[in-house]
Amino acid sequence: MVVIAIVGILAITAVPLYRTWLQRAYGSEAKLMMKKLMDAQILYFLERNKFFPEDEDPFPVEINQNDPQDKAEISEITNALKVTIPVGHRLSYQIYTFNAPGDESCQIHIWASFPLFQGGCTKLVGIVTKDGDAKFFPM
Amino acid sequence: MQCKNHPDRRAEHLCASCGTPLCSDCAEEGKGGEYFCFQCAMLNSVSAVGTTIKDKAEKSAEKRDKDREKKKWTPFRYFVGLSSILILVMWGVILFGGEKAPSGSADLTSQPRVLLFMVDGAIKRYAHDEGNRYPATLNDLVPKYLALADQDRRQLDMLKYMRDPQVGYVLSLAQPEPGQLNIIISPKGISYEAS
Repeated sequence: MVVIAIVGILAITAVPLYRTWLQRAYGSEAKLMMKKLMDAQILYFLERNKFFPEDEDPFPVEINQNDPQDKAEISEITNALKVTIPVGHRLSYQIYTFNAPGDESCQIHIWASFPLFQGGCTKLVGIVTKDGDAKFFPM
Repeated sequence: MQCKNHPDRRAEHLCASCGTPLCSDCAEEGKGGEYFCFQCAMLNSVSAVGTTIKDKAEKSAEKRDKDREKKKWTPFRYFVGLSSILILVMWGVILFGGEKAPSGSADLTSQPRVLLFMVDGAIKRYAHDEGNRYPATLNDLVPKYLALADQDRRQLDMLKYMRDPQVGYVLSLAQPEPGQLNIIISPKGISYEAS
């Protein structure tokens, strides 16, 4: 009886433990990718005076967690921002740019279908403006 | 030889402990077939229940051995002990080991553009999950696609949203600040309009 009870408790505990592991793995990956993409956007803007993507097709640049590795947007980001988006990693990405002259800014959204951080946030939003103001926060 | 207690009787036994001559009435037969005088028989019977110092020591040593035997770590005890530690560690990780959210927050009321792009992302995810259908109102996005508390739903009033049979939907700022460009988003792309 004692053995069955212990095995039961271990099995029940394994589920939230797996969620915590997801958080640690993908929460830190989301933060890291956000910093990389924001830095890359700043460098891109310094070079081109516009944020990536410059044109509006497609708008926004969207990469979902189950997209294939050869999706055109992934290679576009790799070529333009020199950042490789890891697909199949349960994180999805959206990059919005607002390239109206004098008011340029971009937003990067990274989210997952499960909580990425303590407190249950599933999304990370990053904002970069032409003044170099870059910040990100959980939503 | 005469009995010590009855000088008129002949002694038939000697006390195995003190050697006193005893008649058959005075002799007490012990467990091993030996005979004792009344005093020695009493002493023997008292020591048999363990009140002598020697017996006490023996008995406590025996008890110690038994306790030691009980405390011996069997595989079952190892299993229970290790499992308990494992469960405690697991719950520690669950409660305190999650990834900490980055500090900072956005005041969406002062940054409607952030809200605009967030809502657009939520609309796109809604369409992705709901078979390319767009929500009837922005409130349909909360909470599954847009994490807004009930008291923050009013922020959605800062946006203008309508479904459009031609392009799918049109989303824009309801009241752009004077002098700023309004942003109009549709599935076809983004456009700007002087306010």
